[in-house]
Amino acid sequence: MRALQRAWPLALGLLVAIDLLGPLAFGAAAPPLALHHLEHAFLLVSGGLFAMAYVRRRPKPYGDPLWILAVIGLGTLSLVLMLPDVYGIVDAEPVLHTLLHVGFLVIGWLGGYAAERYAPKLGFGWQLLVIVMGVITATGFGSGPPVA
Amino acid sequence: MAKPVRVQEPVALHAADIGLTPRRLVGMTLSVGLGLIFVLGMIGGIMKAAQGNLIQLQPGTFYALLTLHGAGMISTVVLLTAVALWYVLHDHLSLRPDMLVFSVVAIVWGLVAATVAVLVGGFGPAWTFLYPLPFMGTWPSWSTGLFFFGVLFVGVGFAIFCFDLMAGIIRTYGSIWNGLAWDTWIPRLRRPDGKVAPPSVIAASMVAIDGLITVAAGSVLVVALLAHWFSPKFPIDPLWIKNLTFFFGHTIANLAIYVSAGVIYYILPKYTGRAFHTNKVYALSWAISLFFVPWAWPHHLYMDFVQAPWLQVGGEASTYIATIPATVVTIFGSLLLVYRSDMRWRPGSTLFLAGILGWLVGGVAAMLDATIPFNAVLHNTLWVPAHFHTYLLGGVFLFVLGFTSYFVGERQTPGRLVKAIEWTFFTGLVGFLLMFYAGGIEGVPRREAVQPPPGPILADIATGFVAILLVGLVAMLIEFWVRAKRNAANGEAEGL
Repeated sequence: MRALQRAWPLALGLLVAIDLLGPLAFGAAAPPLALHHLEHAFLLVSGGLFAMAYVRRRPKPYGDPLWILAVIGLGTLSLVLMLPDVYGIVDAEPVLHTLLHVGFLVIGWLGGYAAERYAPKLGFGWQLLVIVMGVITATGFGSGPPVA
Repeated sequence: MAKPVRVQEPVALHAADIGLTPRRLVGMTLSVGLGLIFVLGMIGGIMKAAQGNLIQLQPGTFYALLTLHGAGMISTVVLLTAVALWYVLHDHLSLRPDMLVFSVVAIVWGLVAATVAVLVGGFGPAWTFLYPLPFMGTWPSWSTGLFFFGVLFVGVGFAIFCFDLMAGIIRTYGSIWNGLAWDTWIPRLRRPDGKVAPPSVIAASMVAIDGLITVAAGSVLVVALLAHWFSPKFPIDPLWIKNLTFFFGHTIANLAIYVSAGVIYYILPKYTGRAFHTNKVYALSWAISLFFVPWAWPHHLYMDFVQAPWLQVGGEASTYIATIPATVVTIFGSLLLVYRSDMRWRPGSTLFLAGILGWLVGGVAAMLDATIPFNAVLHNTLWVPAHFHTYLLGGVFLFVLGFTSYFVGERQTPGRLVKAIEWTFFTGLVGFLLMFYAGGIEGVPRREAVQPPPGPILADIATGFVAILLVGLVAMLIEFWVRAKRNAANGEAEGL
């Protein structure tokens, strides 16, 4: 059990690295939109998990309410970055696309960190938020019949 | 060996740091919120009078007022119930007054934005703002954007409340699972000190989790609508956004009831002298509600023939599964608490028990409407506003009034005047609701400025009952105000 606790950041880090660098290295085609949204959710959640593990080793006093505002703002920012107008800029450029995915990982980390700074274990609240948002966006965010 | 993690105590935050005591903060919010409810109720009365041809309203004005009434009432009721739950748990969970300030300010800003969009801009696609209507009306584009920003602010306010509630529960009970009292079922979760969360905390834990799920849905919804508003090229699937609208709107309105349950669990024992006790049945029933409340929304979309059948059937099943456990446990639990107790009848206890009746009646009416064969007949009739007015106005709002009465202090036995006020209020309330149900049975369509017979005559009668209801409400609020001043002068706080 303890070995598993030690190994999960490594295993998750490996998965994140494959997800980020795989398309660059092997030139894989972009996945379908739904899967792409879930990929973003995976990066956000992974970032959040790393942040929770980081803060657990460095407990801090209960923080300022602004940390919670940051959590909410970061959640909204992650959605804004998935808008076609924004995403379209990087979609055709593999390097920029990968950088944006790194951005999702960073947002996930910051969101998890901010939640944990407000109160220990509140990172789970952030994870809940991004998982639900990820699943919902996968069901149809940014897709629909063409607008006349 | 892993190093033990030492967590420091919460920052000692005194309410005085923000210039407000929790009591003053809650009192101010209740005053503003109840005033808003009165104004929005007046708007409801004006709409009824227009449907009954007692006054003339342009259809555009009617639909704008309908939008304000719906969105305003839901937001205000959520605000008031959240503040009530915050007040009864703030000491126990070390909840922070500054977080409540952020939450209240965000929701009030949202309400102001929605009001400006409606009253100045004439925005009027109803609170459901079903796509593509918000983008096709006669109102200016800015009012559409402002209204959606208003919804965003309401969601942000509720998210802040849920996050702080969750933080307080984790701080006090070690984890949200212990807040849900799952330790009564799972020995591994039990705390060394044997402390188990009381029922009010179980309800709060459920609200915190489902509240965040709802806010997540709401944020995707509003970002998508705002994106379409900024750039009409942004594609929206009408069925997807309709599902999302009801996921957010239905669930947040529904959660107001579950927030109220937390308040009931705390306050009702004060009148009866008996306590609610956490046990495995409570924990299980609230766990079932936790999982199924966010899945009940598809019962609003039975008429959408392209909807996936599993969602239709799932929506019906979830409605039944979600509502029965917690409501039965709360309603039976409350009745058993009162039965043969040394009940002290005060305005607060009367309002709480009447609210439980409204919750039950409205809940049964809602479940009927959520049953597919009934829905085929009742959908889009006045039965729908009948059921949600019963459990929101005749249930949740009575809990808010009951809490307010408890909050201002109830040491004196109520006199005849107070009883007369209560009778006036309840007469208006029941009469008003019955006209809605009668309209539903007669198949009068909802959300229409002009109704076919017998809609207008029922609206005429309902207008009279709304007037009686509002007179009763004003008298009740004045009585609360006078009692609050008198008790404050005597140095008496809340309670009996």
